[in-house]
Amino acid sequence: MFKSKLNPEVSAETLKGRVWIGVFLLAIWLVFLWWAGITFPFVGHDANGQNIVYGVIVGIPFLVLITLYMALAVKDLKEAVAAMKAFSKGNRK
Amino acid sequence: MYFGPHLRIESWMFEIVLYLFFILVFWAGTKIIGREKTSLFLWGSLIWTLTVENAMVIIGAYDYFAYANYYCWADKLIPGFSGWSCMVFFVPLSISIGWFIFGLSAFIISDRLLPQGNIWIKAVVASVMMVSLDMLMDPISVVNEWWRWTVAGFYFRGVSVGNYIGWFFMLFFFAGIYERSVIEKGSFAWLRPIEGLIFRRNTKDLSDTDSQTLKKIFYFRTVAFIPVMLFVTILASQPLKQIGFNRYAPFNSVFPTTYDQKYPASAKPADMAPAVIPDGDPRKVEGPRCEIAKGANVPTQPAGGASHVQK
Repeated sequence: MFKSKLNPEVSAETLKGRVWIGVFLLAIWLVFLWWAGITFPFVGHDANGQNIVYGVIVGIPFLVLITLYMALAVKDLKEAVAAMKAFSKGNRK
Repeated sequence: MYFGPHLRIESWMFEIVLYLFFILVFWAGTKIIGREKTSLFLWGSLIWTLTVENAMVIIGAYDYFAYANYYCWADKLIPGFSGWSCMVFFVPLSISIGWFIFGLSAFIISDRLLPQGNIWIKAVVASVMMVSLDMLMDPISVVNEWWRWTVAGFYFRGVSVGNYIGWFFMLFFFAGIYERSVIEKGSFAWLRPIEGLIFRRNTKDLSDTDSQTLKKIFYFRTVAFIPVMLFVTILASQPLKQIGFNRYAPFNSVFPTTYDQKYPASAKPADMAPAVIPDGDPRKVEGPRCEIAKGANVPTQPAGGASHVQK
């Protein structure tokens, strides 16, 4: 499991929080992309479709980083849950 | 309210989204780094952004008065409503709240991507992420007049490119200060002598410091870094000046600025008259939407390319 200076005591709760914060940021981006698709064409654009293409192109760094983050956050959570299950099984024995 | 082939996203819609996500991100933040550290990030980012944003409005880079005093709903004028629910001097509170949402999320994400990385490299990753998101948000704001640019400069899709440089360095420095002060409980060598005089202690290592003093030191560093951030941003924007400004300000500043002197209203297209400040209150400055509500003849394509303005 990874070590972070932000919260040395990593628990399932903190890992769930990490997944959620990624989900929220991605949701905000999707809201903006939706708005770009329904509002007026941006300055220099003729149609909303151009807004969407522009949004996706300038969002590439964001999308790459958030995808990497979500993959890591979900992996951490799965590992933590598996470790907890194994621990509780061991206790029962 | 205009519902044509394209939908106008009103500033209050933007505010509702920001306040909603503020609750969610704050909740997630408390789960990850705890309530105290999340609150510190919030208060620090409010100090940081409200100071910088108000300074930018006053020096005439942009303003939030496009709706001022002529907000229309169902074809009726709502007097005294600026389009924003809460203003802190000349800046809507929701703008700083939005910065907190993006800033905290990007900070936590960069920490997971580089858990043992250098704080400044993590700050770069967080800032790149934030600018990438802002590059989608800002053009939406321009066409919907949430805020309006009042500075001559190098523009891309209606937004001053200097804005993106500013956003980058705002999070870069803030993330660095926060991590060094609150997480690592360390210090900045150049600030130590001043902090020694103010806080009457050696601030090199803050690990044994009580939370109240830590807060004060963090807030002090936040304020102390504002001039540094502004200086670096201005320095980094210089190459744009070499490329050359490609546009006059879309709107005149409500504050007299050096830009107005350098690029006077007379040099701008004739349909952009200088702003008049009623009662000395910039929030009462009228703009094109008010004229639309009154049925006045307004240009369909005002300077700056805001071609969405409909009669």
